[in-house]
Amino acid sequence: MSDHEELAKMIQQGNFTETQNLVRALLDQGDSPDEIIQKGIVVALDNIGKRFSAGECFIPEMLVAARASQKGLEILGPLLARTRFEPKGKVVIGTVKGDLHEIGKNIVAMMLKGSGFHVIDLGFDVAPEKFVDALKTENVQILAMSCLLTTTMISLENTMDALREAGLYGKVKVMIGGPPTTDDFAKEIGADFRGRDAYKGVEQARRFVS
Amino acid sequence: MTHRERLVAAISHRQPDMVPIDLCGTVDSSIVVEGYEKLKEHFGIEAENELCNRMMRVVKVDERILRALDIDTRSMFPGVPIKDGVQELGPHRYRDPWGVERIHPEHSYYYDQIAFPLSGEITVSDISKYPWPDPDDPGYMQGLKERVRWIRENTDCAAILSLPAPFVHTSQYLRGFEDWFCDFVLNPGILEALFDAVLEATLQMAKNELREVGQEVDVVICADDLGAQNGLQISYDHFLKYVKPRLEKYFRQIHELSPAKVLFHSCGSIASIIEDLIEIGVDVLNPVQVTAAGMDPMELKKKYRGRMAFWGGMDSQKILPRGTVKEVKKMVEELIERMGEGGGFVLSAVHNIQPDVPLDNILAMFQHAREYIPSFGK
Repeated sequence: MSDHEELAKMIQQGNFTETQNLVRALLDQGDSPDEIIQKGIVVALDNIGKRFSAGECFIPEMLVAARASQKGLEILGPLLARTRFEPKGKVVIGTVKGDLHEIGKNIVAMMLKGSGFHVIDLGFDVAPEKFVDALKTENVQILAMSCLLTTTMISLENTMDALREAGLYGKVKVMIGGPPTTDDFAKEIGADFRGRDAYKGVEQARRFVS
Repeated sequence: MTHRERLVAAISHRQPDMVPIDLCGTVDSSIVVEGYEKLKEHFGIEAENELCNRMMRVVKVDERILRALDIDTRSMFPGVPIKDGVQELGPHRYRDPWGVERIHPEHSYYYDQIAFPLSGEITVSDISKYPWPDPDDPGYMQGLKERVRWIRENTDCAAILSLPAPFVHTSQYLRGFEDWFCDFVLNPGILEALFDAVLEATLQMAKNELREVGQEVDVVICADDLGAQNGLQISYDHFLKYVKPRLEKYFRQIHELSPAKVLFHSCGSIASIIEDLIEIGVDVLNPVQVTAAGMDPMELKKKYRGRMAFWGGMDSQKILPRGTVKEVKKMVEELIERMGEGGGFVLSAVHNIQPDVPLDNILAMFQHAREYIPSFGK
């Protein structure tokens, strides 16, 4: 097993200490941060994401892998800032107004970071104006929003309206997710994509910027 | 058939005269305050709202409305502890007997948790030192005997006794959801200690309730969510190892202390554990979240006919909030046709009716369930 494969394995097992040890060892060997992300972290998250999508693993396995990938990025992040590394794209993400459920959103955010995206996480209970402000001030390609409750689906709709009013509609790709959302609902409110699960969302984000 | 006979027949897999219907028999089949106001106005009821679950802000539905809709169930909710009960921390903020603090934000329909008292890096000793509620507080049993007597004297409906959630919900509120999930992989020892501490308290609370009124009720309900939209929240192996044996203990005690049927509530896709739930003593499963993976009513009926009864089914993610009256009625008919034959089905909303459900859809659901004559009943 190569060191990159070993790193991917440790991330998938949620082994925080070994993840950090291996990242440091790979840097010592002369690997670039970008190479470690692509060959270790992206591979690990891709694999766990596919297994989650296929029903072969569940929220605990997904969460520990996502958290382990962040442990690796804690070391790599500052180094990336010093190189001419270009993030894959910029994403604003948040759980919509009135909704405090953020596990799904956090998993997507961590997976996007692990896939080389620059992620601006606005947290939960995010008002439409706050999404708009973040999109205006940053040069963002993708807006990702989620909700768990049926009663907060209206906030997805309201945020889409706010985008139209601010003249941002069509300028950023919008993806939505969360249990009550459907493809039809995404179409109805004018979102570009609805992710059935975290992996599908990350896959689509990659397509958006390719 | 009386309402009680109808409900008992259905959950005993005998053909009732009509499919029984439930509103507010449990804290998961009631209605949120803002939706309830519409119902009260429609029926011309003026009364103070009384909550049966504060976190979800769901009400005890007025007896006059339950009668008008011909509801077959009547709820029995435990009281609150007298000592160290609910602490008011401000106009919209409280601490529950488990020490969990919640706040009701202005623009929200619900109370949200603001802190998780056992989150982060903890040890087993932190769990044992935690100020657990006194399960023998007499407040929990307050009013139960009177309530069941009232149901028997004033209605011919089935009495549904609510017990505390066995251990999943409460341990999530204490530990925090993300840490709770991670513990399955990283700290199973912590998780098991937490499960056992919560279970010790809830088993004792349940025992007291069951000793008080267990012989007199028709259904005993408890709820612990294990499903997500596309599958279980945790792996089947983790369910077998950490969850199933503890649930079994909880259900076994109910059967030992009461002849009532055990109704278990778990949201989401739980198709993969129904066989296990039958094995450990669940008689009726709520809510049949039809939009979740593998929860197709027809498939469930085919597979578990005569072995597991189902309670719920009216889609609260799409049809009830966003469908037309016609679509609501169509769903009522489909559910009755697919699930009702030979008993084994009680119709209710999949979850508490939310404020986004139009009044006409609420009325159509219950009224059409009463007026529709299924093909197998003609």
